Amino acid sequence: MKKIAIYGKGGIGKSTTTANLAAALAADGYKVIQIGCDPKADSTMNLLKGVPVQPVMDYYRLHDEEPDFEHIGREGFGGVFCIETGGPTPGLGCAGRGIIATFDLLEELEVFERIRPDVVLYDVLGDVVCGGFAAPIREGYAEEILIVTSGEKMALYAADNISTAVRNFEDRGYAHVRGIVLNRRNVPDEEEKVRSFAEKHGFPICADIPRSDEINYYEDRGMTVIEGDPSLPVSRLYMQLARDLMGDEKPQREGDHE
Amino acid sequence: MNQSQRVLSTYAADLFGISSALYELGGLIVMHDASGCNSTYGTHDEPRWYDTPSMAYISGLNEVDTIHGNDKRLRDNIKEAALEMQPAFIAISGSPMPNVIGSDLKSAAALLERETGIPCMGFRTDGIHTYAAGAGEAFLEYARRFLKPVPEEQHGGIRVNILGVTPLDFSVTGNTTAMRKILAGAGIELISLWAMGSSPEELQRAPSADLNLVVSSAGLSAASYMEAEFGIPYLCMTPVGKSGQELWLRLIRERAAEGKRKEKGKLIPSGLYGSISCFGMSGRTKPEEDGKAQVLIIGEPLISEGIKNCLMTEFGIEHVRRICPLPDLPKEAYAGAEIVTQEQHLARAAASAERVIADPIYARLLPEEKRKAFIRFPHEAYSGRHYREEIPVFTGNSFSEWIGEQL
Repeated sequence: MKKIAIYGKGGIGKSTTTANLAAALAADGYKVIQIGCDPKADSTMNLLKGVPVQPVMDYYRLHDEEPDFEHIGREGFGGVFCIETGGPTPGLGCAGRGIIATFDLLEELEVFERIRPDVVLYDVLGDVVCGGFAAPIREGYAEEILIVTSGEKMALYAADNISTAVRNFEDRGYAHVRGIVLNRRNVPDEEEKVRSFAEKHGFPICADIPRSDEINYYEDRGMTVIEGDPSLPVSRLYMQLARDLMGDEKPQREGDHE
Repeated sequence: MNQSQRVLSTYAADLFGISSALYELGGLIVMHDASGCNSTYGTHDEPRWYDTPSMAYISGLNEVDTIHGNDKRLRDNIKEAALEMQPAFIAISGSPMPNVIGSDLKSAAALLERETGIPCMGFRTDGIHTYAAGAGEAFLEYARRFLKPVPEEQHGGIRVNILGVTPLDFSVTGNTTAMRKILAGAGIELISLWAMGSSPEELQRAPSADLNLVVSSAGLSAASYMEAEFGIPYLCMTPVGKSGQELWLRLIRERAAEGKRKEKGKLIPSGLYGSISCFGMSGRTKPEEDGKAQVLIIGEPLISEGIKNCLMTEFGIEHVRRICPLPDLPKEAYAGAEIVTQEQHLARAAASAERVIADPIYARLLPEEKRKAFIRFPHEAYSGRHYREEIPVFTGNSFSEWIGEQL
């Protein structure tokens, strides 16, 4: 089982990248679980035709007890099992704690053992702002991290903070950075800026995703571009990223998925 | 308001269970919490505090370190103390504060182990789970870290370990001595008692036993581990009263005669890392049981099962109801006990029973006129030292006489 966490500045396209990567992996026959770790709970929406799954923390709020396996998430495009941690109402509570509580619940319900995914993707809010947001990269969770960034100054600043956090955790056996996903915003010298950042940290650029109207077009329809039109050049980039990440690792249940 | 407690107390927390389980084993035991919090443990939950040397400490967590999630000062302090005291191991657990901010005491322990060369165990406690889950995890982790296979050797008779003993369930009023005497009187060799009155060396000989005797839920996970690793079968039972003692000895001989297991069993998790929402879900009594119980027992489930068997076998009491207010134990520990934590449900169940056996604090659930039907059975993990003098020796024969006088 490969477990990857996707980090990056808020609004940089982490959920878009994660959902398209999940869809691309599913299209290649991999069983995928995508876990949105953000109180906004919008990570998996485009795998679910725009109909959101009930976040775990919302279930707790409404029912005063934990959800069972049937209520923990829902299958979306390509059989991707979609889970959202959710979190508190803005301005209240502790969102990081919500992530930890959800992870505890996934363990208790033996979600991974029951679904037996090939890949688990953790789509994590913005920056590593507190202990809860580092939970996805602790021992036993994600082993690899993808940092999504554009060439914008603040996106690179956030990417730098994330790599610092990861470095701080290095000796604890936490996840390591697999590489950068350049999600272009068409700022001047974008490729050069991101390349220089990547070289400084010794990270490879795993994918270079152009700004694409097609992504927006299909997101407006509750879809990823993989679902909308897998033949598009941008779809092929996500497919390539999926294949590069998986390498020689074959789906456990080849032929199970379309 | 369902989960509010009006007159009841709370059980000792997970980190105290860990400290209690490991107290006598020569380790440096650190509770990551604000300074001063040691007194709760030392004064109320650890009767050995004043007469048995130990290395149990509070870290003195401060606000700034909490905000920063900084565990370096903790590690530096532990390192300094450990290098001076050379403990057999280091155990770190935390209070709700470090847990809420997502402190990773397991990775802190791994770092410390690398830095000091001393085995170091980190526990993810939250101060919300119960002592029994904490003690269960501590025994399991100790077994994982320190038990090695021993060469098979021919021996006559039966060798056993007793698992799951801390003062939080058994106090210091003679229960462990009684169990030792029962076994010695029957010619059964006790290798180790986890963990009161046995040395670390004795505990490390545990894999040479033929059978493990789990006498409280805290011993279940370690027993399942030893079954999986060393093929040692286990028997879950607290020997309460004359009939319990006889049954215990009979079952020990039967199980030991079956020999060691060849197939690996399933590891039973301690419950420490289960979701805390189990606390909210455990208010469910079986209303159909209300009004039927001649005796209601509230407490640790293996001990209450032992009392139930004693009452039924020796006193002919037919309907004995068991309620366990500890919602985070391995499910195998309950053996039919209802899991109830909410005061309103406990009050209803208590009011509907003819007699109630429980810690004296539970008497507050009953109206004054019904309190004469209450049998005080103090539980150190619940009321601490307050009623310690009243705790009977419940393991072995003498309980029969005691309960006979109470009924």
